[in-house]
Amino acid sequence: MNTKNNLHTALNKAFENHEEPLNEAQWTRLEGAIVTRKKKRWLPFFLIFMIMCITSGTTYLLTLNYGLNTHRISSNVLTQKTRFNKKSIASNNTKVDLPLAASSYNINNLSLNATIASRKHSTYKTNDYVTDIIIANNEAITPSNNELIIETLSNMPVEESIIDLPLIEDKTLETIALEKETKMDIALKNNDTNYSSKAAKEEIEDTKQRPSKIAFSITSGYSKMNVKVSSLENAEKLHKDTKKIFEESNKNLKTEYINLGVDYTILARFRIGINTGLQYLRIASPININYKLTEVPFWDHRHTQIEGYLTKDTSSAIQFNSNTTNYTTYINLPIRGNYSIPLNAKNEILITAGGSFSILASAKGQNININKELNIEPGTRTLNRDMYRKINAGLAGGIQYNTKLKDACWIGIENLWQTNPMKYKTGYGSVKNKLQGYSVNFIIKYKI
Amino acid sequence: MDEKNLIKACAKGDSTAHRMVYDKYGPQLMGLCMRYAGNREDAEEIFHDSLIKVFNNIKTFKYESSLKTWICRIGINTALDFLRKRKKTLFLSHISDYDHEIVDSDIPSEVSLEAETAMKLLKTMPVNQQVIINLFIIEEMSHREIAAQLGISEEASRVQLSRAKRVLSNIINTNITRNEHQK
Repeated sequence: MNTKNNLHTALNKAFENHEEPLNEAQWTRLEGAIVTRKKKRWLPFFLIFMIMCITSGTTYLLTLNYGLNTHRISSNVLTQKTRFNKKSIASNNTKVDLPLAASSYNINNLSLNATIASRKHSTYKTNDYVTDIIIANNEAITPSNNELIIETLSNMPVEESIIDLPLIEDKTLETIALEKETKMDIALKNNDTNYSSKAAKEEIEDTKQRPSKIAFSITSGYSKMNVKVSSLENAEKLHKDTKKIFEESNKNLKTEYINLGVDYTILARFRIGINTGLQYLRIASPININYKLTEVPFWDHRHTQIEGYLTKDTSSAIQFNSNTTNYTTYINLPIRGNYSIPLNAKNEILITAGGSFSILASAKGQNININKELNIEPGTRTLNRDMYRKINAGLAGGIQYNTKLKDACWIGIENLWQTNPMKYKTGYGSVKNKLQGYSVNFIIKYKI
Repeated sequence: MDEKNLIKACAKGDSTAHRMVYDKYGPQLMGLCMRYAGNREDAEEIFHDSLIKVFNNIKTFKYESSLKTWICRIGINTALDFLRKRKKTLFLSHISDYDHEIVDSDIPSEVSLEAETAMKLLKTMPVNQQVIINLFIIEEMSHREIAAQLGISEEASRVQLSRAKRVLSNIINTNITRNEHQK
């Protein structure tokens, strides 16, 4: 028996079914690591959720504050009671005992119709604030006792004064319900006021033109994306054909996406807001590669880098084939600023620009890997999420044209350009690349 | 639970299934880790990393081999990775550095080794040679596979093996001689 066989036999027998005892501490450690890893998977989603909550909350508060300030009413609530003088109501030149603070308040948006008499408690909701009109009792409108109490939202100091109450008909106020319910006639006529009706109309017009606070949108359309290699990380450790193979694998991208968006108006006066939401982006990349490894690298193992290449005949070279379609799916979180330009009451242009965070949700398919790692040999590799950088931050910007369809429902078209720096890990290095392109989208938007 | 169901359960993150895999394949994996690491502390580190990889990648298991083989393969890769990190110069060799003369030393055919003894013998060898012995003799990989695995040429793999065998033969012969003297 020769040495090889003796050694083989002896060592093989020695280590045949060789086992080492385990202790419970190892399992405890392992279990802990598995649980921690599971928990970490939720961390990015949790962070995104928190960012969205904070952004939404902050924006809502800012918007709310702005909305009240435009009417010179602070956000704290205090009930003001406005007593209508029965004589004032009876006359065409309506006069109301109104607190001084409320005199600056845009009472002109309030439409007092002849119909308000029949309710004990009615609620008026205007575009920007809520006004409760309380009629003291059913007899309140009778000539002998027609007291109205108007409760408005304000924390301004209350002072007694008498001003003219401008009564301008505003179709946007929700008085329709009241109109249906009342049969009493009160001789209140619109525009019978000393208040400057011109100024009031301008203000109403201004209110109409102001962008809505929040708009929800759903967007989808045609998209053309491409991948460009920007650089190779640890290029000295990667095969020289890495870039070529990567570009070949990503040359015919087909994208599908749907975007759920939210627009918040932050500075309505300047028509500036932010846009956020969630975008589902799926990229399909059909691959048909037939690659022969004719340049075989030899390694300097001290520095773990390629020293040079040995050229092989095509006949003896290892061949790799991949004929499949790879799919990578991303969940994007855009955070963009937007600026709206109203063309008229029914049409607007919206310009958006900002950042976009993309999270790799899944990677499926097969790739040719010509780079060696200690654990991985060159060959075809099944794609998985670990091969890519999972969170990327990029830029996005575009222009939208929106037109009002009905009430709060708008439709539009958008041209969006976006770029996202990505990283694909291979061997001891990685391919830094940019996923970029444009999309033409159809938008359905609901404004509040 | 059969192997297929066990894999599916592990892929779903079932901790009971994880425990079953640990109990069933753990001791053998630990034996493998001991062979490569040479000490318990490092072996536990490799074992831990290997099983983390196993559980994280079990979804990609394609049933082309048995689960045991797959786990052992991951164990080997992790061990080599560990050794490379620990010892940066692992398999630093240029072809010209090698002694091309392969010398086979005869050892008695009746020699038999216990696992513990074989482990001790391996420990006395340089790490490079331990790895070659492990890969070629125990894992029964070809020189081509070893070359691809370690990033060295096939010739370098052969020479390393030859050196390892020579060292091992000398150690065994020395031990035998010493034992005969003691008798």
